Amino acid sequence: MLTALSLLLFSSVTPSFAAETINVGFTTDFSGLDASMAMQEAPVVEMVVKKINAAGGINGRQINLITQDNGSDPAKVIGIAKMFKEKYKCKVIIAGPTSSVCIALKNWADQNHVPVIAIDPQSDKLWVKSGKSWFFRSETPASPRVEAILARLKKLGHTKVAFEGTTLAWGTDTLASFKARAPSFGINIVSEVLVEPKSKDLSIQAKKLKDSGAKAVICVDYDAETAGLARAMSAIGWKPYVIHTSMANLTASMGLIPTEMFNGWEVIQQIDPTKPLIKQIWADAKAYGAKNVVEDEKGPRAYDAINLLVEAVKLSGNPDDSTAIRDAFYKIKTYERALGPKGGKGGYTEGKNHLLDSKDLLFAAVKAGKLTTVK
Amino acid sequence: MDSYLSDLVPIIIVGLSLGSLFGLVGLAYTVIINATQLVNFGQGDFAMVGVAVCWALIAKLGLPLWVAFPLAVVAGGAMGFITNAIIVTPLLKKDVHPFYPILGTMSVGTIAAGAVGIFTGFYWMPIEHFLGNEPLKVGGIPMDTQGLLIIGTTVAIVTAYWYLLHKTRLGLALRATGFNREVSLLAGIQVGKMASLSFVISGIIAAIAGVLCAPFSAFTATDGMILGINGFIALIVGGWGNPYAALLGGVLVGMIRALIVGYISSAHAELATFLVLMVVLTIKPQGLFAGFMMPKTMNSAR
Repeated sequence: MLTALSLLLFSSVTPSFAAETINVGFTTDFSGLDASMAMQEAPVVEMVVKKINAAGGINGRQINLITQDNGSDPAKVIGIAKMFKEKYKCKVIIAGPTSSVCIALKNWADQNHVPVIAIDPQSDKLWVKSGKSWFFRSETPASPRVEAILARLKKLGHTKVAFEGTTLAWGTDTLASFKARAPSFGINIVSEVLVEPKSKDLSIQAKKLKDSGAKAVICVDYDAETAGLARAMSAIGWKPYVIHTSMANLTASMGLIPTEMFNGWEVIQQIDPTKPLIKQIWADAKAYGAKNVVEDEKGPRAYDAINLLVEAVKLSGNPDDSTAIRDAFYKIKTYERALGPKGGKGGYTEGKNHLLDSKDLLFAAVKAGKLTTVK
Repeated sequence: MDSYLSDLVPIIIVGLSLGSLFGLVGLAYTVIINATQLVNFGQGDFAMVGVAVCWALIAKLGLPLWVAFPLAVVAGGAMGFITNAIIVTPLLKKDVHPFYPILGTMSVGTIAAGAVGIFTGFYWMPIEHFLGNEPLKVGGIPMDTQGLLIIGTTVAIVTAYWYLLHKTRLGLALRATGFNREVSLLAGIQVGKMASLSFVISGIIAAIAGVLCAPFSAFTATDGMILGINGFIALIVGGWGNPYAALLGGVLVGMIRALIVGYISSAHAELATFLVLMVVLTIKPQGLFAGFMMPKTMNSAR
């Protein structure tokens, strides 16, 4: 009788433990500045979670992805993070692209001790250079990009360089980084233009950059504004060497205006397109039904972020302990990364809450309307 | 000093085209205000719907721009008609506070943005420059053909609207409705039809503004709101209820923005816009051009 009762008791309890989900908060910019980027990355995050759940989840527990739009709004994201923690008891959060949103989220994570991994913010303000961090990202920060670009400019012999960037944290932080490092490369930033998001016509700004005598332009801006700059430069008949710091934004821009306006532009590239894993991610995303899949680094970046999160949860030994998950981000050794050169493995090390260094970055150039890796 | 002057021509062109765009949206607001005394807070989304239809016809059905553009304008008018028919008129008949239909227009706009967003995945809806990518060179100065087209179209629309208002019986009825709804009813004017017509005209103007603007800065489903806000600022700066003042308000805001971008920094254009708004609200809240081209009786009525 007792045995029968115990069996009955356990049979009712055990499945409930087995069915208990691991709640993961996912907040990104389904609306706002980076909506086009988020709309391509979110399906990859969902796809990976679905695949893991179909294979049995993490130690038998299914991942429950709770998705919220933050509209590129730093204030809104704090409310969302609070809701993830308090209402849904999330022990880890994955976030989207915008630096200003992620800066707010990082501060929240530091105070609330919930680890956050973001897909693609670039701001240097997110770099935790000593000790363990509560914030991680798959994207490479501005500084290593800046160093790689300055080295590239020096190699190509450009010494008079202009800067065009967004007024948001991504643009201003990157500008500060360029200004600080340019002299050591013998490069002079001769003019700088910060452009508000959603600016309609950049012909005045393009003329300013041209009139400064710059022979090269560094572009750190979102899709529409990058397209606006390319169009404006074309309109005034100015064809300097242009290098963009974000492949994701440049490829999106190329879908907005005739691609020949970008011929000769170069961009930092975090992926090696010859890697089989990269091609697999693009193919899987298309098969999954993701809209507007562009064969660039957005998908691989989201793929690495969600997989690193899953690896950290697995290695934590306790998916209900946010500190254990945070510590586990530093224990990932065997995960094969989509980003970076072939053979790149592992997660994070103390003092470096991102994955790639300047030496890991490649360049791609726009030739005949298509991006080709620069050898 | 020379470089300041050589910069001035492109700055004026950019300021005029941007200002015309804001003014057109301000005019679209005013058309409805004059007929119903209501503000359509879905105005920017009317523009976005125009862009969405134009983009879909070109990108999904392969229609040429010259076919897609008029159809998009028709869609803008239809959006206005539907908004009035399903939300505004039914609420006005219930004699509710004017805030309710205003909130209703906002809801229609938000739903439209959401629906277009689902259709497009909130991705860009790019539309090519109407007259090609090569700039027009006047005296050696390259000018963006889309900007010039916006300026020209705005002049044409305002002229047509002036003609409608002041030279036709329909315009007289529209003006009378805006002047006094009760007296217009007594005079046999079909006030309900005038309200409906004002929404249709407003939708048409907004759709034209949106589609003309899209080649400059590709639209997403949520971008109508930004154009709507700038149009509303144009309306306040220019003068409430005066279509020509709204246009002038838009041009003023556009010029100030362009001058700030040209001579100070493009990082401060938004700040400048709101500073202008604050100054106007403080020194002349009725708008800088409130009485411009308006009959004295209508001015005094406001």
